[in-house]
Amino acid sequence: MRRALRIALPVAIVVVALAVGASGSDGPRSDPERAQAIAASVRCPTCAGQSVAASDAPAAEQIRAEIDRRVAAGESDDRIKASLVAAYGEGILLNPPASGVAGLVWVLPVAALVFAAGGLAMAFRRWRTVPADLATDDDRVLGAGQEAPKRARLALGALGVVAVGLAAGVAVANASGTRHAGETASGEIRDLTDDRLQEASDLARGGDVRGALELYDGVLEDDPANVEALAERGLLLASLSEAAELPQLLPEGRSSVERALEVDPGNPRSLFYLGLIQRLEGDEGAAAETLEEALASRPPPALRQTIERFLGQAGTDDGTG
Amino acid sequence: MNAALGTAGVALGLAASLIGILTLAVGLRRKRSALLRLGRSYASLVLAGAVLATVAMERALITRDFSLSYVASNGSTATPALYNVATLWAALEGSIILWSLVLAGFTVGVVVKFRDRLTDPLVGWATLVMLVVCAFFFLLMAGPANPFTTVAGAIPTDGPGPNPLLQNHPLMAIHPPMLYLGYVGFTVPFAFAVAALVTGRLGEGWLAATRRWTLLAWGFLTVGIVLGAWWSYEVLGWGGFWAWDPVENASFLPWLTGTAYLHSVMVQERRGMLRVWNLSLLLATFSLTILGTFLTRSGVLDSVHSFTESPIGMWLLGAFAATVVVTIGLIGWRGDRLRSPGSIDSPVSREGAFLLNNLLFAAFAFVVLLGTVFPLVVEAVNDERISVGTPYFNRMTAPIGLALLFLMAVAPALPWRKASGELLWHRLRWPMWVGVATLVTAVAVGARGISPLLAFGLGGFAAAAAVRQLVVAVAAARREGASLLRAFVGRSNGGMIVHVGVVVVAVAFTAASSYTTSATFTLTEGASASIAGHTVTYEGMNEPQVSPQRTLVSARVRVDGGQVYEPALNQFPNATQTIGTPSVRVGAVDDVYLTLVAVPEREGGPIVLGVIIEPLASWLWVGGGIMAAGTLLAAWPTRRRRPAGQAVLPAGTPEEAGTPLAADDAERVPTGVR
Amino acid sequence: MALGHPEEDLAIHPRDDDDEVLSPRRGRTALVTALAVGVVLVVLIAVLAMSEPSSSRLADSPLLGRRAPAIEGTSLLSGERFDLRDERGRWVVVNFFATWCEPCRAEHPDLVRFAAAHEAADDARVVSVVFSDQPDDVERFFAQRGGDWAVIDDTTGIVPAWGVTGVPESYLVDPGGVVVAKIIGGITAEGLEDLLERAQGGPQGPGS
Repeated sequence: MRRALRIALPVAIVVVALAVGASGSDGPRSDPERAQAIAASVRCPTCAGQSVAASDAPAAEQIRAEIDRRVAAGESDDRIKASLVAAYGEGILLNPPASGVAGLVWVLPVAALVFAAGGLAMAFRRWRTVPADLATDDDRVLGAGQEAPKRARLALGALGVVAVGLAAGVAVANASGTRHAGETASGEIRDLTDDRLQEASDLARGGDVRGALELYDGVLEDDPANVEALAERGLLLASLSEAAELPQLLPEGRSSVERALEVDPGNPRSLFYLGLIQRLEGDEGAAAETLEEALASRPPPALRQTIERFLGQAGTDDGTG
Repeated sequence: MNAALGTAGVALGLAASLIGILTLAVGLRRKRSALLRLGRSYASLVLAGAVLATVAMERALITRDFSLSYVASNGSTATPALYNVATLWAALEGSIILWSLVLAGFTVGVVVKFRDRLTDPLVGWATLVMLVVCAFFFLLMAGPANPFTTVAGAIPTDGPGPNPLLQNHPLMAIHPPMLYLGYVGFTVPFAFAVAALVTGRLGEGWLAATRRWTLLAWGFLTVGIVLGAWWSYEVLGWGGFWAWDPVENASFLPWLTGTAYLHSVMVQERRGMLRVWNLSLLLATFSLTILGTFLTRSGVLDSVHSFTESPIGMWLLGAFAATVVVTIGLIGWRGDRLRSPGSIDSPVSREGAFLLNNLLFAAFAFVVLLGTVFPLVVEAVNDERISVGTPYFNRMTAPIGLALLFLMAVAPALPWRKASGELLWHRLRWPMWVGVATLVTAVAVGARGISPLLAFGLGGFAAAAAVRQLVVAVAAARREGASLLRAFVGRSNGGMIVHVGVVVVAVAFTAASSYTTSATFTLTEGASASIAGHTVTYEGMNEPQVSPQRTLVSARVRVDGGQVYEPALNQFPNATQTIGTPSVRVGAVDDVYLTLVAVPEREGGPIVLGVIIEPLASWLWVGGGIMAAGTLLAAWPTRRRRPAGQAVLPAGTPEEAGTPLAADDAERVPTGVR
Repeated sequence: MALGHPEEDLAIHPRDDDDEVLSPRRGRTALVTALAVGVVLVVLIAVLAMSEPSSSRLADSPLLGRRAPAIEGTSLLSGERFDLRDERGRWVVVNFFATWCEPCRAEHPDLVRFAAAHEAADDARVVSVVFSDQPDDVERFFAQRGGDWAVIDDTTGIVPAWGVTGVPESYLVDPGGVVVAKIIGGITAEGLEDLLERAQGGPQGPGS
């Protein structure tokens, strides 16, 4: 009893202390902490193996600033890393990927350790059963040869060790390795934002409005503040309401564009879209006002021409402007 | 003049080592004792050549002889004296001179130490191997990395000086030589291991002969690594000391296998087991130093510390390949006939613990090696570019480190052969409670996270176990009438002190990397900022110090209302990059690490100040010092208990039995079947 | 390394009591293990021997063949808004630069020449993105050295979105808005024309 207690007491103290210690460790992290953690896992592209957190090289500063911006915008760690991978390649992350050939970097050491530990355990078993005095390897090999079941058991044990080693390695890789950009637990591969935006815009131009809308929705799921997706989605919804005579879609389109304007207030393209929607709603006055505002926010030349064209139409209809 | 002198030195060294190799080979083959005795003279000539080359280069650097390409591209009239001398190892070619000098020194050390046994084939083969390595490095200097090439055309009047980062801190003057003493020192046990394999004499004699050499090499490597970390901390300005950079890994790898060897060799000495494994560890340690040299000097891997790329890479890779072929060949050829019988009765015994220790160190080394070269492998296999960096190494090595700490706590208390529960309880009770108390204290002062807390708890346990062993052993020695200093000398006591040092380093490493707080403040003159219980006050800029070699702008920052620290920015005339010089308020509890991020854009404007609070960081260097002291005590010659003049190779003598590992398990166990 | 006859050597000097004579071969464990380790190491050596120095392994950008990341903003020179998407239908050279960078200054006249050569046909334009620099300096730079294309100060993460590691770096975007080439280091007008010609002839040909 006393004997049990003398071990149980320290063990209990350790367990309680660790429980207390573990509980405090994963509270919600502040933005700077999160940004710092991400920066520490991103390689500085110009400075030899250091992380961007540890470097003052200009490229590292720019990446740090980008991480800060995205953290402030509420993007998830994985998304921020994925966006950097899209621009710089997989090598920008200091944590190697969990899958593919690169994943072996996780699997091999764990498997090797388990193999070696298994081998050592088997050696200890053998040492215990075979008297040391006659234990040359030849004797043991001979002995094993005579007893086929023993050998089979040995082979089975070895097989078990190999299986456990590989399983442990894969488990560590999955727990610790970087998942490829867009790789989800279900294994679904999702395209990166920019690709999806491009595809959506191509689809829309080709007339597949619903397909485009689906892609924009997907983008917004990952990045609810994506201005381009919000604005384009709004315009598409509005045009769909017009073409398919589904008037209930128009307010939703409008709110999507308005959300885009909340994120980036002076964006001439979003303003232009808002104007178009207002016109669809029949509020020509507000539309003209919005289009003027779009013109005043210095749109690029091509967009300016388009807006002016629409404004011209509005002008002739209304006789204003 | 200097070029001629240096070239003469290189030629002398190369010729002496080549002729030496030939002479020894013939001597060994034909059994001519007279030829074998000549090894000593050749070794001395090699050293003379290396000294000549070193002197010539230092002379060229000090007299600013810009007719030498090396001086023209690495020296400058503005470099201060200390860094000017250190420029010898600031670039590739010069570093090879230093390497050769240290190697030749060790070679002479071997022939002097074994002067009475030069005709022994074991010593003959070892000397021959050392000379082969010497010949290789002199060949490098004669060919692809010739430090004594002269400038073609007009001789410049000044040079750019060494890389600014290398003339920023006095540690640069001692860190590389320490590292080289460690790296090169492992050549000696390697040479003896090869000799043992070739001659087939794998008794414990050659082990005893090289034990102290190995220990010293290991000690130098340890000091070199710690100093390197310290240099990073003081100079690089991001508050880090270890980044799992390829060059750091290259120095860490032989340290890991060397440490594994220092432990497993005790099993061989006690039980006569693990002979082939021990040899393999020594061969691996040396091979890894060559591989490390290749990785740092060929430019295949990105690293802050690497030398510029050069054709020497292929030579070093060739040397690595040759080493691998020879060592693998020797082990394959002789290994099975040299394997020792014997068995270990119980895994819960000192031998069992050493086996586990070796398993963990081998796994540690495997992780570090794999992580270092893996990007190259992946790129070769499927043209994919990946990085393997700090997150990987931390994740993979933390569990191994924790297991090693646990082993460090338990193993010294384990007796050889078999342990009884009662004995273990008796020995581990107090250390265990110290560990528990450390853990509770850590939680109480606010440390969080399972992994760091385990490190602290196990650290306390391990340190207390080591101290207990030490106290018991010293008390026993004192009872026998040893002086206080004498009582501490010896392998086991030194080893326990090294353990304490390792614990200090491990705890400091954990604290400083887990609980760092950092922030960047924009401060106007007189303004203060608070972070983690510290207050920093910006008190103004100093006058810029303009000197020919750099312009230094520094800010005055008062820490906690006490002393003023002056983080600075350096602008070197020949570099576009500005280099910050951090300023650190060193403290026992935490360091306040200040960096000047940006200077005022106009007079009286605000500065941008980076502040990093690193708990326990200063204990890293203290721990390194303790490890060095422990190594010295372990390697210190114990009092001879035999009359002088007896054979110098003292296998199995009382000296080797040394201080008993613990007072109560000193029984000398016969070595199984022999 | 030449291996002598160790058995003969032993005769030279009396062996230490402790030293072992070769015992008969016990199994093949060491041989097999040594060979296995040897094979792995030979592969490693082969990989190391084939690896190019890291400095010549400058990444070809993962952006190649993909839609160009957004460049939106107000030009520092004209004050007009610029949006890369509105440049569809013509080639765009996206140039990342800084006034403190020597090669950037060196390549600037070539950019000016290239822009001028394509001004009439309006089939290619240049847009510059400022990398870690002060707007005042940039305006002065263009006032002194010419060039009147859109110059965007990066406040929205253009640099990291393009995977820029240093300056100068230039990208060629085709009329369909797809990145077709990345040039690290300074460019020349001739080099750009050459690249344009090759890109037009290649499979990535103009979309309009």
